[in-house]
Amino acid sequence: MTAAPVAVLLRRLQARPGGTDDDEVLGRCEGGALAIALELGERLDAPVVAIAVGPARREDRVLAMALRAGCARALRIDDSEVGEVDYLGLAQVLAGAVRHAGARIVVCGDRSQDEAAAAIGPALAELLTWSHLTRVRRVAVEGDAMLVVREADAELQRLRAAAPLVLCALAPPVAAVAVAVAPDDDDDEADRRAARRRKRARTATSIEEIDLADLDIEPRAIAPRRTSAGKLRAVRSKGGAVLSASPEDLVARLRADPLLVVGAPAAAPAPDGPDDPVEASS
Amino acid sequence: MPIQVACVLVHIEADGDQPTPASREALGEGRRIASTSGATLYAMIAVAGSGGDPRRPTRAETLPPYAAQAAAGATHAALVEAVGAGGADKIVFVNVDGDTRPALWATVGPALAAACQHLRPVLVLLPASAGSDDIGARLAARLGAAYVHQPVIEQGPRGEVVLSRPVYGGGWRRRLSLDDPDRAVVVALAPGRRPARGSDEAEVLLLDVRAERDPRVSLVDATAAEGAPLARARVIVTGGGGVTAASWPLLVELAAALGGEVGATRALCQRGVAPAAREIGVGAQRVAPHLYVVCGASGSAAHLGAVSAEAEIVAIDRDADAPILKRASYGVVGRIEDVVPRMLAALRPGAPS
Repeated sequence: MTAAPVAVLLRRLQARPGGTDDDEVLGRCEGGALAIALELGERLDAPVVAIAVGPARREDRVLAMALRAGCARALRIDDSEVGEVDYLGLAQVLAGAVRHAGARIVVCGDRSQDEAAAAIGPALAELLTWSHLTRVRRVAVEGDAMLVVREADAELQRLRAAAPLVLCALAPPVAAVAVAVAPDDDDDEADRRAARRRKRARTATSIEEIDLADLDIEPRAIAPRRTSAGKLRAVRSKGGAVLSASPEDLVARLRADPLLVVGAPAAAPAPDGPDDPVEASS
Repeated sequence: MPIQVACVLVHIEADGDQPTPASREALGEGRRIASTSGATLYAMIAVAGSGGDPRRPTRAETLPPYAAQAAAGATHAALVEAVGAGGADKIVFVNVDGDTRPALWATVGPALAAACQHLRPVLVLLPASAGSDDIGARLAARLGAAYVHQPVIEQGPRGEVVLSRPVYGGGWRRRLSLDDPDRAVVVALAPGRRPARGSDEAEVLLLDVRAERDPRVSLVDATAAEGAPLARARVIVTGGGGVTAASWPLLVELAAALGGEVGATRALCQRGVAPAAREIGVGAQRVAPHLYVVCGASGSAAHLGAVSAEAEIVAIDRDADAPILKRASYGVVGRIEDVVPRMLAALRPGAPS
């Protein structure tokens, strides 16, 4: 009997709000999530379902990539009624999609490269009332449980966790970067282009598009989460760095700022010696 | 009119009978906000104990709100003293069934949520730690609160607390004001805040609620991680794709001369020039130095997304049009092999300034 699906949450990397990054398709953590999900799928003999929220023109490239990498199914949730909601609004949509897919393990990136808020996985777990672990480096299957290696502040923790479970993956280790998706390897450029077109045509038909109604989600239910996201503003250029004429001049500027305390300890200052202690008001 | 902030709550992670350095910093930030907004600063500590009676409802009005104050204070006297000295007005202990370490949602999250549901803070501050990464967003989701990860905290024009953070590689900022009394905000702080000094006379309370840890998650073991010093380093010299195997030792030397640590981008680690444990980037190590010297790196979102918004960036690059020079505060154009030895000479004791 095939195990319940493993879901992997993916999102096209954005260079600016609403604008894709032409150089990179997946963020580093999403790449780690895909690698872990595919490995778990193999170990558990479970199909892997890739899930993304967003328009076809943005997300289908990611989902097609996931299908080529070995995912059995791809779901895209149309977000035309979602608007700009915060982490919890998006997690509500994703929770509906995970239930729709029937998954009992979800792997997602620990944080996106653009917003880096590190919020979706834990919020999704809360809505599903599942366990979750963040900062996941590696996962092994151990009987009915997972043995998860988690990177904490100064240590690597090994934790045993049982499904249902949300795992938030870090970037794959440097040596294993090529795991997720191998490029097409035809010799001739024309053949390669034709093969890519064929693949796109094939995979586009296998991406299932669903909307909020399919997930029994009322757009009204997530609309209030628009005010919690915060306001997004473009940063006005400050005109760039103050350029120094020479390395010696740079050191002198840093000393004057003063950004340099040569020979200072590498760690943060001791807690009982603040520069500007604030007295309690009570 | 800024809203009246009645209650600010800080989660304290303890190491033995002392708060962790990151928790002291979070207390300091909480003290500053509470002092300027007239709020009471609560410090919440989850401790291993028997927990509340599971047969009793956890609704506050049906419970004696606080009990066994003296017992909690006596058991954790050193911790109480340190947290009081760190600026807390009130210290709230919540018992958790089982071990509270490592700090994860599975271990202490439900206890923290119970304290928040009882005290109803407008602002919850979490220390800069991997534990807070695990706890923060889930706590916010349970409370229906907004969640802000590692923001810069400022005062708005009306005296309100404003949380802002760079997104999309620093080209945009997301900004949230504490101007809605019905919307709580959970904040996971960045490292590098200043601790504060309190009155040493915090009131100690034991919150009698049911807080069961997640039995489906358990710690097997923990080992020291490579590259750990980067997380709390105040000065970091980082090499990017423009650094060669020959110039890497110069960066190591410059980091030592500045009393800091050396880091590397993913590109440099992939080439095998720098150890993988030194990688700084989204999905690898995040850092919050005071001074961040970048040598031969473009300053991509994947790299700078892991560097605190409050770090002062200094760039050394051979290309005067390099994007990193638009993000940096100071820079010098030149080859690493030429610039760094001259910086080292200028940094030597007795060098003319």
